[in-house]
Amino acid sequence: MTTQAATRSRTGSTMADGIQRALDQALHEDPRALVMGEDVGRLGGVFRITAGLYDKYGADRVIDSPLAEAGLVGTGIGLALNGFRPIIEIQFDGFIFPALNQICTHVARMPLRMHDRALLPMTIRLPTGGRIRASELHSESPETYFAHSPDLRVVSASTPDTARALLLAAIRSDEPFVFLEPKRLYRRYRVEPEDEVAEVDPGRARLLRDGGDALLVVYGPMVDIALQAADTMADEGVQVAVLDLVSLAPIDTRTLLEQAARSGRVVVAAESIRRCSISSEVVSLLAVEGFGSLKCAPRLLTSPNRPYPPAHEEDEHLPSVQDITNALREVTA
Amino acid sequence: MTITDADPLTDWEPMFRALVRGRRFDELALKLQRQGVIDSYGEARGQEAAQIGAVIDLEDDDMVFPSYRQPAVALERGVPTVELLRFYAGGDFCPWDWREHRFAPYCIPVGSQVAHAVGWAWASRLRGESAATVVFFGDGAASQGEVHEAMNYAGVFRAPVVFMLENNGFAISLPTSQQTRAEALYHRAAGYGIAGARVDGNDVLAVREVVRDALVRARAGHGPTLVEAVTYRMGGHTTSDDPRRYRSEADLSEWAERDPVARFRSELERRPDVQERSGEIERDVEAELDRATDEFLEERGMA
Repeated sequence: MTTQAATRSRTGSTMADGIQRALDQALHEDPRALVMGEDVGRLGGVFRITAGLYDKYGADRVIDSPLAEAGLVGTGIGLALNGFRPIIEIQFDGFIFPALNQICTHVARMPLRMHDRALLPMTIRLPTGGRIRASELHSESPETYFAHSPDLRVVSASTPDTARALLLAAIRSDEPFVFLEPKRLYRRYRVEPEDEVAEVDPGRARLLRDGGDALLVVYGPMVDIALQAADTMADEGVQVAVLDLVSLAPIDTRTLLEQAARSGRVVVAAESIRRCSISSEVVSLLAVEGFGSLKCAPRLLTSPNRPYPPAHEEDEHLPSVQDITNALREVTA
Repeated sequence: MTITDADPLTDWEPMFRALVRGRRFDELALKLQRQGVIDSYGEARGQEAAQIGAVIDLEDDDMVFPSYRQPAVALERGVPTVELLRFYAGGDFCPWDWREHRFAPYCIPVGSQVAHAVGWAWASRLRGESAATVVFFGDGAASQGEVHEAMNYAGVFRAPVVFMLENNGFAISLPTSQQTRAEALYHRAAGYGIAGARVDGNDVLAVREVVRDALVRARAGHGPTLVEAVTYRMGGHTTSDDPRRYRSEADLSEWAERDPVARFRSELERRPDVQERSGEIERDVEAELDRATDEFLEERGMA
């Protein structure tokens, strides 16, 4: 997908539509699938992602939960152990922390503890990222917390054409997934929907744009911004490849190193803060495993190591298209 | 004296065997820890009646979620002794087949297993099964927010679960009186709109009766019950603990007089007709544990 292709369609389907269709399909094809979360039933979720599912599948399969995230994930674990496949919606990124004990001490560890990789077929959906001018703790980038729990798979949607297939892959997997949904992108772009979705491997990074002069590594809410930056650079005659990590844990190291080696000039950009982040992990992988193929030091663009600011300051807090093009100009100079 | 159908001791044998087996295992594990064969052990001495009374009437397809101090329950659910020893020896987080025995692995983050039990029980209800779930936790865990969340979920979704709160007097060193201002923990049931009861946790027959009612309610679709079994941890928190620093000898000897295994044994002693059989059971259990110990030491090259 390029940004032009995505914005061209006015009638097509958004990322929110794709996610909704994936949930619908999962509930339809597998009676063990359950959608659970706060306000996901009658209301259809605060982002309306589950709209219509309650009427279609009933209160036992599209479950309005009490307002308690640890209980939500904890009971989801019990349901998963006992034969169901819960798809849990956490309302906002900043509200997942009460569930962190269940996620880090159980979801991420039970398969090892109990000798069964297929023990917990559960998916935790989490709207993430900023630039939506929301109140405090509605614009977080908590992905590192989950990536730091070995055995927990963390993936991020980024475009309307693949969110559906990616979510279906996570739901159908027997392993537990944290599925990140950049909320700014829910309804920003449209594509013509396809009736049949091609299956995707949720562990593979995706080359969204090819280019031999530099590599831009991004994921989630930074993907469309990266594509805009690559468009700008193309106007200047610099061809930038854009790699969407898709899987944040584990990182598709082979694809990353292959793509980095082509130009040897890499920029990594993310909304999260820098310290101990997914993007600093990418740079670490490049330094340790791909150093010989680099022509210059990678550039790393992130938020500063500070809490997410009030809405009117978020533009200064997050890396912009211009920050990225500046970095690309430096590495290709 | 003859035993009649109305007599609560009618089927005393399985209860007695389970109590003795729990106590003997506790003594064995403590000894092996002192010998350096296993790393660490959390004694359950004194809590056998609260534990066995809660599971003696379970069916094979009922599920049990322990905390980390229910060896008697593990053995009652059919977990082989040698596998339980392997856990304490640090060889495996879950050496037993938890699905076959319907006995989940020990859960270390205090109270976090209660939500798993609620989810498991909820799944049973969604499928229209009659299976019930029992989850063990303690007076310390009752302070955890996650336990509150789990009980609330259980009430809302009428999960067929029995919350078995073993109030053993201490959370490591902190006495229950400093854990909460509440006079009783089972009162919390009212806050969730669920049934609640308090029982003498050192009286296996009393615990059994209360849990039996709770299981009937659960299987009938009437939802969860919080059972507070008042008991006493006669050992330390684990073998790394030193309970002399926080409790008096007087307290300990007072509770020793209410020892649940001795108490049930004395019930039986009043019945000359069962004397011979109870002696046999004690010897059976002894022999069973001796065999398991030999197997365990052999696999560790210490036989």
